[in-house]
Amino acid sequence: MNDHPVDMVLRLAFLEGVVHTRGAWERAVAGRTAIPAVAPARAPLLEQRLTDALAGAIRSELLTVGTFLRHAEAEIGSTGEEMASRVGLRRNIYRLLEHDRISPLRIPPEVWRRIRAFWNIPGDVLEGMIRRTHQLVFFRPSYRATLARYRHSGGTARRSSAMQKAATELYARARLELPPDEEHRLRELIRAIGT
Amino acid sequence: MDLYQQRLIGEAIHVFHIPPLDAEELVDDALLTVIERIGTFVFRKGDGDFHVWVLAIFRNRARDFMRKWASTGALEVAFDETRAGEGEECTAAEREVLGEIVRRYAEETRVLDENRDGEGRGPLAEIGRALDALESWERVLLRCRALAIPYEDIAEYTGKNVHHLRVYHQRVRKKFLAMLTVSLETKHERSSR
Repeated sequence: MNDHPVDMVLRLAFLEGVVHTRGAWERAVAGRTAIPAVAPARAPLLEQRLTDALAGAIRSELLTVGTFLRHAEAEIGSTGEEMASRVGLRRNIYRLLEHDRISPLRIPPEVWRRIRAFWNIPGDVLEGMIRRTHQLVFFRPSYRATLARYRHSGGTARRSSAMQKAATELYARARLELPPDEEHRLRELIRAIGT
Repeated sequence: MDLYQQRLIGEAIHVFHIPPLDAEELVDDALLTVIERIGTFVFRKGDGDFHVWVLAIFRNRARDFMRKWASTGALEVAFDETRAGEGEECTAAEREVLGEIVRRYAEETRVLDENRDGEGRGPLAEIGRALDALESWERVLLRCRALAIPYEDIAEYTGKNVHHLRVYHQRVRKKFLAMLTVSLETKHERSSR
């Protein structure tokens, strides 16, 4: 296969961002015929790696029970009402759970067991989501208090500066260690669910 | 993913002249990066955004591969193996000019930290300057043909007909090489004073 030395140097310059094609290369690639170039034995290996990576990427985004439930319902096209009756919760309580507005401690262990079984959630993943959701609900009032102290109505620049200060303070306090009695209650719940 | 995998491996092998096994590994890594960062991708202008984003990741991986090749000396070997088509051989002086750019790129890659942004750009800056000295359609022709963009597409971008572009491609390469030689000689003269 001929490769002209000028073309090689130009390609190097293209990869290093010295030469630009203003989208012409991207358009050309879209129009090229794909030639099967993968050995058949390697294809399943890559598919497995990509599936694992995709599962990891989704898991990393689903930090709380609410985000998980909303994502999972959207995946199967289910409504909150259906899910509430399936797991045995009143609709309004389930809606609070969907939006991380209720502490997991207020949901009975048997409901958590139904949620875990229905969505086939690994024990450690459910435990992590319950813990983070409880932290979020428990610390939300103190976030609000901090933000309220810094609330400022005087112009965009001053408002931005106030938000920056509030964010700095929140980061400084972001160890999110629960008080011992809350931690104890959380552990009791997790033990009762049997994760 | 199947579509992108085949298309990108083809691009790596046939356009960037990366050996097949390395090309497969490079594309696997690029697609893994796509999956891992899918949460950060945002549509801004339209459906084409995703394609451009995937190709940007692929291009960065290909660049990293070239830097790795350069740091091990394999790039210089690959350059020595490049061959012009029949009837468009480079003179020894022209090859020397291009070879010097590749050598300096490889040296800089070896010296600089791998993660530093802008690495390897210095020696390639001469390429940009020599291209700027060409006419606009000549620049487009050279840049696009180096990436195997079809003559038909280039005809649309430049307003020239396909036959004209085919005939002139070789001449434009010669003109570019001549400008690059002058540009580098002038630089050497200035630095020796």
